[in-house]
Amino acid sequence: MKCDEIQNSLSDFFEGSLNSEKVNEIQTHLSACSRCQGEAEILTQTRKAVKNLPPIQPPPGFSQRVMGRIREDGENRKESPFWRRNYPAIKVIATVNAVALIGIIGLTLLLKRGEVPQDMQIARAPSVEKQTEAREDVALLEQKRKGLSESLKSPKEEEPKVKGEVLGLNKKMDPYAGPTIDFAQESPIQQRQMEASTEGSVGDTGPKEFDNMNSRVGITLTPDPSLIEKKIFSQELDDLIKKVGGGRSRLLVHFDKKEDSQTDSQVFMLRIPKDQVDRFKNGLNSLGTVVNGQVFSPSKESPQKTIAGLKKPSGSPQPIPTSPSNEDLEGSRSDSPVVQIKLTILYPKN
Amino acid sequence: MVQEEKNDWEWVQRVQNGETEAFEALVIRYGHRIFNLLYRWLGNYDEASEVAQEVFLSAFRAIKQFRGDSSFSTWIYRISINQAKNRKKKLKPDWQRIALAHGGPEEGGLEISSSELDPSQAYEQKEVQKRVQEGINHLSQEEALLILLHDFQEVPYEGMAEILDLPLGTVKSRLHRARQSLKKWLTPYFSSGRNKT
Repeated sequence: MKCDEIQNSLSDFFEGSLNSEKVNEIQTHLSACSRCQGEAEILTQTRKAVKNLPPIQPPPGFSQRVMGRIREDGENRKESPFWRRNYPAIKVIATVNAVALIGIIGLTLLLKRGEVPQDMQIARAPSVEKQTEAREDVALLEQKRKGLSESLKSPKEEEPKVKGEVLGLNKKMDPYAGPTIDFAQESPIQQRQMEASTEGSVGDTGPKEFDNMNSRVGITLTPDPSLIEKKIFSQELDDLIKKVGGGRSRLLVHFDKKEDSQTDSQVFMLRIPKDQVDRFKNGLNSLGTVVNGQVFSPSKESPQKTIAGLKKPSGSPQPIPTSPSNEDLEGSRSDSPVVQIKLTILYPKN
Repeated sequence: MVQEEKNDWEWVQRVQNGETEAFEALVIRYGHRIFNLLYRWLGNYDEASEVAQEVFLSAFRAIKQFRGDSSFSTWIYRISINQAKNRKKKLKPDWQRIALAHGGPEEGGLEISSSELDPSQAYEQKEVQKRVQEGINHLSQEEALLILLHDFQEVPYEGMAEILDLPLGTVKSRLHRARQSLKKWLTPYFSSGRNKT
């Protein structure tokens, strides 16, 4: 063995962990090599010096002091309030809850984002006090529609343009935008205010029955001029509501006529079985132009849908018909969930 | 050793069964050993005293989780090492060197000495001890710990491997390197031939 190997084996040599063959080899080498002998001597002295470091007495009463602290600690734990004793566990639970809460808020915001497109953010549904402003917005909308309608050569070709410009569907959806005047979801207070201002009393399918609705729809309809002309629009509408097993309230709001306004409007609250909504929408399309609409629902079963006008009104506007019948329509009582519909009918003025 | 472990386990079980005072037997049995390891490793009497108390307090708080998978000795050593490491992190880098220069055992506590030496021998011994402590404090944290566990506290290789959670071969090779480092520090002193332990 070379000197390096010997010196590297010295620790094991002194520990006694080498076999006898190696021990003999190292002993032979050490007796002949003064350099390795010196190394071995220093290593022995080092080990011995460490081993001989004097033990130090701990402070007097060390164990009593420790036990004192243990007893004190135990008493503090007993006396400390529940939240302090269980602080680590509470901390974990609180963190989990906070994360969950943030998640729920985020999810709610995301859902809201999906519900409310930007093109409907111009104004929320008006309370009764804001009806004047609302009427102006409706008039503006109708004016736009009419203007475009006049410039159309082919309704089919121009349909997307109408949708885009009149309905604002080409705009980017704004998640925080509210619905327009015609399609808004009223707060219960707003709804009550609206109902309070109705011209007629509310019948069998009155507002109370709408309180438990789990879905809501706002639809604006411009009646087909031919139906207005024949004065059968109201009857057709009522028939459609009956056909789908729905019902409607009495006239809730009849916007005051104004000389400068292009339209006159009426608002009804409808209740349509959820599974009949699509059928009802199709039926509406045969009664006139659905200017815009949105199905919005707080429940998962009724995701957001948008109705767009499929028909263009033709011919010149007809005289304003009389108000729809004050007779309430009692829809069939289906067990399926119902969708609450606020139907705004825009009648063109003469 | 086996009997000692058996005794420890009995005391541990008594504490686990709610007999708080039984823990004092374990403090008395291991307090001195743990305190001395901490004193040599931290190089400061007061710090060693404080950390040693924390070690036993922590052990008591956690004793219900002690299942006897290792010996109580191994367990308490592990707690001590963790506590001391945490304390070292908080200490200033030069803190130990200052402590070793001025804080020999004689400044903090009483040495336990059974041998009666004449004044010159006693002085010489003090010088060696001071030099060795300086050497230990100049080693890396791990090297110092390995030397103290094996050469000072006489913990066998197997026990060290368990405490440090290292393979036996690794313990041996690292201890060898640690000794070489300390030897290098002490060689000028020993090779002068004036001081022999």
